[in-house]
Amino acid sequence: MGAEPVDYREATDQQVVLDARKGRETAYRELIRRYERPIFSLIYRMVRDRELAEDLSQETFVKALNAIDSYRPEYKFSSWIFKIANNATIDHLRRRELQTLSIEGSPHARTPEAMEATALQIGGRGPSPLAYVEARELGGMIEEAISHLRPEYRSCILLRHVEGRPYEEIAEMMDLPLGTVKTYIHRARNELRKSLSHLRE
Amino acid sequence: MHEHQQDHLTPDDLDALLSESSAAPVSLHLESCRDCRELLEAERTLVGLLDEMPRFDPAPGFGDRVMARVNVPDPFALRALRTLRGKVAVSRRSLVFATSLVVVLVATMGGSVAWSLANQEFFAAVGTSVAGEAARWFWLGLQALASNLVEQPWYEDALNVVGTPARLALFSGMASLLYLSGVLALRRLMALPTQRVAHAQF
Repeated sequence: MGAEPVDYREATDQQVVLDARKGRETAYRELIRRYERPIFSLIYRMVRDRELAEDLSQETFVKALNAIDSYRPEYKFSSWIFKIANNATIDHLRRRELQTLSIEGSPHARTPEAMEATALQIGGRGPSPLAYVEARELGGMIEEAISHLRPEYRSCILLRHVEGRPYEEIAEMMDLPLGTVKTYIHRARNELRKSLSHLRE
Repeated sequence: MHEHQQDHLTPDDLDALLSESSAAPVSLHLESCRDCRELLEAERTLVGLLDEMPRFDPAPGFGDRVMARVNVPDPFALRALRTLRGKVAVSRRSLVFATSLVVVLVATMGGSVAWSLANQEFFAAVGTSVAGEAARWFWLGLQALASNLVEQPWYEDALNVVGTPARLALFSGMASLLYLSGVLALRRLMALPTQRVAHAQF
């Protein structure tokens, strides 16, 4: 029953969730397909460790999909799953105090190979080697600047400007008043501007 | 900046400008304030850089790893539960009826268990009697089968074929060999594949 072909291209998240509640495995897989990249990207940028990001992303999806019956369709599914991801990540960061990690790789890596394997991969290949190096350097500087923000600021700025979520949704995801979210985002932008000011000179 | 045109841009003004939805007084202020123009330019550059940041993919097989830990509910059980809920929760009368039915069922089962525990000798006597009767019928059946077999016209010939101990051993060996081959063939047929079999995901 769970593996028959179903076309979800036109379906909203709510419709897919309803199918998942009926026990249709393809609906579960569709939800994973839709959100694996944004959730993994957010967590990866928060923790700066690919292996850890994989684990936290998996935890997020397992928690969300096993509790799919408790999801209330009047809210956006994206807000719900991002909220679970954000809570899991912030909790982890608070426990492990990983706020100021190096872009060169995980602090838990013990060998150069492990550092290389866990380092944040930045940017795609440009049209020329020089453009690639420049894009990589610029991307690296932004990633580094973001990594020095407080976890709450980091979540807010990534959700707002990388994931393109509206302020109201971010407030809902992070259980914060709207004004606080706006303040966090403006402070984060100020800090980033200061960190990257040398780029404009 | 909303009330006094000479004030600098507020964060809300900046947001409005970044989303191209600012009010006329803000634009007027920008024309006359170099600091705010520079701030807006820096904000635009930053937001542009953030917008262009790439997304990352998890390692291949991520969905399978998640699904291995997700409990997908059984659709049949869900349907049955939903139907039952739909039939029971329609009115107060049906709810009372369903509750009474459950109470009667539980009371009957409880009474039955209690009575059984209080009358264990009765069950022992019935068990002994039934077992004795079953054994008697079994032996009667076996005797009838044996006498029927002896009456058959081919019985003497069959007895001559396996009449010596050597022949009997040969036939027994062949029968055992055949049985063993059958078991091995069945086991091979029912064994799970040792290599992964490709399945369509959707």
